[in-house]
Amino acid sequence: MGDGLQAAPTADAAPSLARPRPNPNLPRAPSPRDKPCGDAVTAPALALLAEMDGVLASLKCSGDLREADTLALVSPRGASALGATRAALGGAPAAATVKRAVLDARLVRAAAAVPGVCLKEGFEVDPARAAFDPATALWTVAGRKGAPVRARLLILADGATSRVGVALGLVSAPPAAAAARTSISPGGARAADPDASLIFRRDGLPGVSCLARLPDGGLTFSSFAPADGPGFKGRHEGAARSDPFVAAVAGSKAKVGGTTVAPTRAGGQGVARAASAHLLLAGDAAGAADPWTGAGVAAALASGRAAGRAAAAMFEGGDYSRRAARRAHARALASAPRPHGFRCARFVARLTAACPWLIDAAAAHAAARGDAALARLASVAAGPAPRCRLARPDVGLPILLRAVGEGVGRVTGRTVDLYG
Amino acid sequence: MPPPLPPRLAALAADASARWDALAPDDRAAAGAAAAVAAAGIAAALAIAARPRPGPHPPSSLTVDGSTFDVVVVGAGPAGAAAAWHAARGGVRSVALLDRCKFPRSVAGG
Repeated sequence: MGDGLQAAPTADAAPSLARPRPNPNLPRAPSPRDKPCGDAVTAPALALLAEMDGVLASLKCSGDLREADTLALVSPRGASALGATRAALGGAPAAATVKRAVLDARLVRAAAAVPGVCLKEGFEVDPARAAFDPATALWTVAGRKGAPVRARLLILADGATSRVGVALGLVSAPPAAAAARTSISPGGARAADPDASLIFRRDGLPGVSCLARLPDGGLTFSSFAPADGPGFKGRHEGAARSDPFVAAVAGSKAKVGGTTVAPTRAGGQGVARAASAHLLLAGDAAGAADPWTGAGVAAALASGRAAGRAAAAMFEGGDYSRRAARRAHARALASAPRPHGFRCARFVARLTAACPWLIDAAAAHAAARGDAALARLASVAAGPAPRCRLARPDVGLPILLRAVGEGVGRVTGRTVDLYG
Repeated sequence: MPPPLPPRLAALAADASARWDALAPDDRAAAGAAAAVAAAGIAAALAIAARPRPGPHPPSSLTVDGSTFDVVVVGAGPAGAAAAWHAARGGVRSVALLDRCKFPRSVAGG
C-alpha cells in the first residue's frame, strides 16, 4: 500500500522522507509507553486544562486533583523555605497533583466527546508505513493491523522516542534528558508537610527533584536531569531513601516504592522544527518539556493546543504549506498561558548549575521574607510568570544581595543581611 | 465588403505601408523577426497569466468510509488529546486520534 507513496510534501521535508530508516540508537518505548513526567502539574497546565470543556472542574469534583496550598524550596546546601504560597498568590495555586493515568484518560475522554473526533484505541502505527503522497496531498498512516488512515494533515504526538518521527527523519537524536519517579507511602512522625517541594539536590544539578503530595495522601518523588548521565537512577533512588528533606516530609516510617526511569526530550532537543508542510509535532515528540524543571504536562498541553489551533487555521485558509504551518503554529504557541521560553529556561538551568549558591540565597531570602517572596519564586519556577522575571529588580536583586551578604558572612563569620 | 476604416486609422495604415515599402529587403526581414519575437513574448506572458494555479485543497476530505480524515493525530497523550480537542473545536471537521493503548491505560508510576 505504501509502495506507491513517495517523495515529500515540501523540499524541507524531502531529505527526511527519503530515508525512512529507524534510528537503531533510539530506544524503543515499551507498551504502554512510560511517562517521563511526574504527577505534579503547574499553574499554566491548570489554565490549559480549564480551557478544555471543564476537564479541570471535573478533576476537582471527582477529587482526583489536589491543589497545592503550601510549597517548599530546598537549596543544594539544604536550606529550605516553606510557605503558604497559594494565599500569597491571591488564591491561585502554583501547582497541583493528579495521577497521570487519570489525567490522560480524562483528556482523551474530553477530546473524543468533541463532534468530529474519532478515537481509535489499540492502533499501533507502523512507522515504516507512514508516508505522504504528493499527488493526493494526503498522509497515509497504517497500523500493524487494520485499515490505514488517510488525512490531509498529520500531527505527531507519539512521545519522546517518537518512532514515527524517527522513521520520517524529523527527529535526529535520541532523547538526552531523563526523568525518574518513585512513589513513597508516608508514615510515622513528619517534620514538614508541604503540598509540593522543589528540591535542588547538590548531586542532582543541573537537574531538579520534586516531591508532591497526591490526592490520596501518597507522595510522588520525581527527578529530572537535562542530560542522562551515568548513575542518575541510583542518585534519584538514594535521594528518595535518604534525602533529609524527603525524609522529613515522608516520615520516619515511610515506605519507598519502585522507581521508573524514562528518557525525555527537553527544550526541543533533536527536533529541527515542529511545523512543516502538512505536518505538526506536539508534546514530547517536539521536545516540549521545560529544560530547567522538566515540567512536561504544561508544555505538552501548550504544544498540543498550538498544533490543534494551527491545524484549524491551516484548514480555514486552505493553505498547508510550510510557511503557513510555521506562521499558524508560532501564532498559536504565542497565545498560550505561558509561551515556551526554552532559551531562557536553558540559561537559568546553566546558571543555577554553575552558581548553586544563587539557589541557596534564594531559599534563604524566601525563608527570611516569608510567603510573598516564596510565592514570587514559585511563580517564576512553576508559572505563570516568565523566567525573565528573575532579572527584575524586585525578584533578582534581593537574591543577589542575599548571596553577597552570605559570602561576606562566611568570610567574616557574621551574618550580614544587605537587603535590610 | 469590409467596412471602411476611420479616416485617421486609414491615414496611419497608409503611412505604415509607405514606410514598409521604403525599407530595404534586409531591414524588412529584421523588422519581421523583431515583430515575431515580440508577438511570441506577449503570447507567452498571456499563457502564463492564464495558467490555472493550484488552489487551496478542499476544506474537508472526510469520506463516508471512515478512513479519510482532515487531521490524524498519532498519540493520545496530553499533547495529542489537546491537539485533537483544539483542532476539532477550531473548525476541523474530522480528526482521527490514534493510540496504541486502550484507555484508561496503565501508566508507570502513575
